[in-house]
Amino acid sequence: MKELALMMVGAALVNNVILARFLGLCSFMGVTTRIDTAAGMGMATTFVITVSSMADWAVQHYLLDAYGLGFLRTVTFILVIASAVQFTEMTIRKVSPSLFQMLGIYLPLITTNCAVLGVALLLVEGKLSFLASTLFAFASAAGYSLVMIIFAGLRERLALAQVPRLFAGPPIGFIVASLLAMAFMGFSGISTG
Amino acid sequence: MKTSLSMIPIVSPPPASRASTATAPLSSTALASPVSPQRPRVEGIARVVAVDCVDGERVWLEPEQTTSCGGCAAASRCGAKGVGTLASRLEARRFPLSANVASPPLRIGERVVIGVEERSLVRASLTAYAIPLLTAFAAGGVAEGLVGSDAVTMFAMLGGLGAGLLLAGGVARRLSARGELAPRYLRRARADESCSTDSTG
Repeated sequence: MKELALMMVGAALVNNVILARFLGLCSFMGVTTRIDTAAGMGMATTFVITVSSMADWAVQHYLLDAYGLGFLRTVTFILVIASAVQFTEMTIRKVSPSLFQMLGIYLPLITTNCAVLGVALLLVEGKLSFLASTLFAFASAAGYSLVMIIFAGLRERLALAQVPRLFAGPPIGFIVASLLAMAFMGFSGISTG
Repeated sequence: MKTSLSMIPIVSPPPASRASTATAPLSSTALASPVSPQRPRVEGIARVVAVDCVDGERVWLEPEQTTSCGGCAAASRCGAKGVGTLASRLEARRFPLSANVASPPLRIGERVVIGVEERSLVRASLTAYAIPLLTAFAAGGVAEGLVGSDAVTMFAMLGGLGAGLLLAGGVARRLSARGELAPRYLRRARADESCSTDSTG
């Protein structure tokens, strides 16, 4: 239990998908102009990463490993992720058209989010059990959402601040992102030796 | 990626129900009342694409979105509506609004600014995604504790996920009935106003 908790903290904060592994940077810069849109995108991505990691685990163990098809891993995972996104979209549309109307916009974008594929490939290296790999994926996605929301909050405040014209817009956004990444480095500790 | 992301911050045109399978009931209050100006809201632009032929009091709107290249956005006007194109996606996201929220009443082709309260978007996300994940992990945790087999845990999580989605559907129907997921009419859009324009002026 303790190992699972530590693994989740590590996946969410120490090895954060965005700030430590540099995955999902497109959405990090593109969808963080408002907190609510960042939260919506973060939650949608969390759901898709978790569901696709469950499917990826099954495919890896019962298909790729079983038949020695490891060389097809990346292609297969891309297919699984696209299917997971499509499944999520169809299910939400069926279960609640109202929710689909409001949230459907985020789902197709997730298919091309490299964080989803990155987490799936990391899980293969980890050789974890089904529950552990799903929790790892969930924690990684939660870390992604956390950073998205924090960065969106910072950008909302930046929009009200007086920024020199040369730095206005994306430049100051990149500077803030680098400061945020340095702050997250604190979770991994600073080596003095 | 860049193409898709360009439409995101706009967010926009929230929900209600679809033209083809109108299931989410919109209360008359939800149709008519504007968003409280004190509350932060997400705004978007929609175009009136149809008027209810029975009484003419209800109009159907389609969210207006642009892409960086404009190619897919053009498809919505040129009739290229293949599966998966932006045009077909927009058609699937049509929603109704009372024609009388504006004076004079809304007519086909008009562009309007609609809004939804900021907290509604977060609440909808929590309903759609957090509830199914919670039930899936609860079911997986119980199965892992009782049996400890990966296959059993996997099927338990799938069952939990399905149950969570049904539960989320129930919660969403309750929110819809209260009009919390419905977009509200704010005003007619200016001619030069687009999704990327700061509509707050």
